[in-house]
Amino acid sequence: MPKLTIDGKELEVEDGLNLIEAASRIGVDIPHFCYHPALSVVAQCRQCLVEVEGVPKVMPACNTYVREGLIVKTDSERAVEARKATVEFTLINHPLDCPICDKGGECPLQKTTVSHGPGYSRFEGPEEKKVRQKYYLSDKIIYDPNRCIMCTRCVRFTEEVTQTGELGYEGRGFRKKIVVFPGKNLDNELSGNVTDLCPVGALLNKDTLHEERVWYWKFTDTVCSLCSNGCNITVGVDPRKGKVARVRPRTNVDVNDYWICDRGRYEWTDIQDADKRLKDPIIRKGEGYEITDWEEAVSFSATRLLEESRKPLQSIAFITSAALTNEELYLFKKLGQTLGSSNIASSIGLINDKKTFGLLSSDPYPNSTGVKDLGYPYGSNMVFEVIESIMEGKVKSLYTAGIDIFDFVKKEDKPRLSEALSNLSLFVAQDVMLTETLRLAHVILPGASAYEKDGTFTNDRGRVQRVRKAITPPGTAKADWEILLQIGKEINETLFSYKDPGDVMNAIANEHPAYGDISYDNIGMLGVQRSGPA
Amino acid sequence: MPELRIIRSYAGVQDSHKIESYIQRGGYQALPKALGMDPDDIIDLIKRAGLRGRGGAGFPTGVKWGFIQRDSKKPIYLCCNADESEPGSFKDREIIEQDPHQMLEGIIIGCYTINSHKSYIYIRGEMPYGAGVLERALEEAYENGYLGKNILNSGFDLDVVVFRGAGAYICGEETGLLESIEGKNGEPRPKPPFPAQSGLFGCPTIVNNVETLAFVPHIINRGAEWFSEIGTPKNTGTKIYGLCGQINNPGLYELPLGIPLRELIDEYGGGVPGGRKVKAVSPGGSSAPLLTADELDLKMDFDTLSEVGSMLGTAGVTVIDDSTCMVRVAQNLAHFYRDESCGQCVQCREGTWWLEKMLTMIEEGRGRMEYIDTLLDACSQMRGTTICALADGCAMPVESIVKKFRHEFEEHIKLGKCPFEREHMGEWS
Repeated sequence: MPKLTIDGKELEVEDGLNLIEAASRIGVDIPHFCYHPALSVVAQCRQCLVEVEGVPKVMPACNTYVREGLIVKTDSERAVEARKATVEFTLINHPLDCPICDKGGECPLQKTTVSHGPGYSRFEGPEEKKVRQKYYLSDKIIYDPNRCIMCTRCVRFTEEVTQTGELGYEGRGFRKKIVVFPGKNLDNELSGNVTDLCPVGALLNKDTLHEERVWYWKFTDTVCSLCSNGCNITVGVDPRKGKVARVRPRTNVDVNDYWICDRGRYEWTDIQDADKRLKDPIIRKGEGYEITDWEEAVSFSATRLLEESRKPLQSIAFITSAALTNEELYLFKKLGQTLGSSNIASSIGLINDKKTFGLLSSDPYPNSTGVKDLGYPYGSNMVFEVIESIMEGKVKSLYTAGIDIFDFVKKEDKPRLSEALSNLSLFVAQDVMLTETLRLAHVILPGASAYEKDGTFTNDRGRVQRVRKAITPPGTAKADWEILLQIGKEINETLFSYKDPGDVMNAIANEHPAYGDISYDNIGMLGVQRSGPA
Repeated sequence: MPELRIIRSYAGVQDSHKIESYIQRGGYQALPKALGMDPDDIIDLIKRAGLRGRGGAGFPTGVKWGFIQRDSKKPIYLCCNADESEPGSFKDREIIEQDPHQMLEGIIIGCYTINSHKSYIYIRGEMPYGAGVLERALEEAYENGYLGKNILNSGFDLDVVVFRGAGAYICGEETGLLESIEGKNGEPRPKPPFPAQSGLFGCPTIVNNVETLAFVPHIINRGAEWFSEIGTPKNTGTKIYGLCGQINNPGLYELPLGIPLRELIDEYGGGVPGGRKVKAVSPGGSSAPLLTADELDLKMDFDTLSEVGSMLGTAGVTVIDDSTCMVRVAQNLAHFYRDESCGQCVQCREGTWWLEKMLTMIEEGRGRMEYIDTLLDACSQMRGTTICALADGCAMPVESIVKKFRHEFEEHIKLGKCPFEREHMGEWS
């Protein structure tokens, strides 16, 4: 553990640390563009220059490593002047078009210019700058060579992280630019990360090009729900539109490092498609459907469920999926048990550790582990068995949440399932979007997506992580836990007297030893490991 | 005074590039001697001889060889830097074309000393003739048992490969050269690690200049004391000086280090043509800060020039006479470096571009007075702030021109045009 001095402050840090990292330990922020903790050090943006005692030249902090007795000055006149000059050089051919650049407001170059730059330019007007054509690197990402400061983070990302090598650079000196390597396409599953890595507005997302301004956004730290890995994300929402504008990775070295996949980044948009979403509760009356309010939908569902449960030879089934949060799964199971059901099942994905780039799981559900942990008889077989019972007419009433059961039967069996569902005496279905299943339900309860509710998911390595509400669900749609809680309360006030998902988690902790230590107070931003095997 | 020819013994000899000619002139006698020596003794000998790298930096060759951990588990490489691209320098080219075996013998001895069994000669892409000569020389050396397995029954194996560059000045920078051999873009690496620890393919590597290696056999043959008595105490041996520009007798002259610049220009170069006067001299390739006519009595060695803020570099001397516009000289230099910057470091990529822009504007009469100080400031921030020395190589001569010929810049700006007539400017135009 070498001891060194940075700006007069002594500190002791572990070996192998560079000066950027070491300085950050004592709150000294050394500006940098090309350095990234997950990528190799190239020391070419020269923004992190500092003075090291005994060394005649100013040194790049990214490529200078701690050693015993090192005396570093980041605030000496020479260091400050060198960094100021670097900003001036960097801006020479960088268009000062921040007002129309999507990166504006969250641009490291912009921030560094303000905090370390000279505040003026001695370079003649914009007409003297070199101008080059923009082009698309892929169908998702546009490249502006004029803004590019050649930090090569994007190139190193495809070389070192994905090891797919799609990006390279062409030309030398001021002619240099980032290109897609001939014969390749920038289509790896992590490609979108280059837009986050880019410290300027050179790599931008096409989907929101010129449509968003980051300073309007409100950020919510949550977890991606599109597979079992549980990547930590930050969701940016423009409150004026009430819509998610951007999903970004949130650093969690135990789960997703610094990255998310393109699915998590781009392919959640259908939940914001107003035409696809369920907005209000619907009750089937005779041949037609009627939009109703929650009071009626809840009391109707609760009354009818109770009625069904009291029938002699009652056969009531509860089917859900690992798309629901732990709290919702707990409530759903409890509801089924309260009503005496012996057919409670949840679909889960195939849990395995083979992941593309260590991130993308083949299990499309965020909470398969939660399903197992909460004592659902697991395995997709269980869902198949219940569906088989439905088709055989053994099940008289059904409650589904977050699952389209038609996905679980073969094409030729679909008419049989349709018929069986039509013959049910009660069918309550809760989901986010209209599905084939929902069309046959007596009561349709509009739920909320993972971006619209609070709760927890347990990822495939047994890490319990919080999802947080970033946007409000459309219409009067409610979070699934809220729906389940309301129906539960109608059925048995004392059994379902939880206030919120945190309260439900306390109940889970009481009943499931693996979750014994877990509460919303200690899950924190990065999640906690529940005990027991992953 | 005639030249003191040690490595230029080939001059005037017919078919000097052939192995027979080299052997006739005493070649390949150092090799068996060296192969019987302890490598530590060879390093000691080179150190005592005071041989300094002839590529430009003047780093002691023996010390450099001593950096190599000879029992490394990884292969060790010696790369011969034959990428001579510095404007004003043309010495290595002649050594390669006229006497390839001389440097080859140096390479073999060097490889034996640092325990390297593979060596690359990185030759500039624009020297196809030299590359051909080298290829034939290698064939001859293999045929005569100077290369390959068990060289001269010493048990030492060595293969040498000629690697042709693809036209980038920056590949003459040693780590840029290594990147290029590895098949990558010729972009210098951040240091540390230095090549002696992690060089070619991540292995310990030594990069030596052609001329440096050519001296090695002579030092083995004739001893350290002989060599160290030539030149000045800290700048030993001879140096091939190149003379070009506005001079009557351009060419190469091998002379002891420390010869006065004036003697070089007047006695060997025959002075400036047309009765004109020397205005400025670039003493060591285009990267060296320029000297004025008042500085001609300086001694041409590493230390003297470094003391006055210039450098000996490759000792490729370019003479500029008084008909030449110095703004144009600076612009030409900046243009070259702008085009040759690899583009990694911002000070270099944007700095060279900016210098060229400002100098062009001044030259074309569009400049403003404050440009002069901006130029100086930009130059000072380009020096010593980048991965390699290319930015320094641009900033240093430009800065020296602006400082030493500031009045010409002011005249351009005041007049709103260049006061010089273009047709007199020779190769700078």
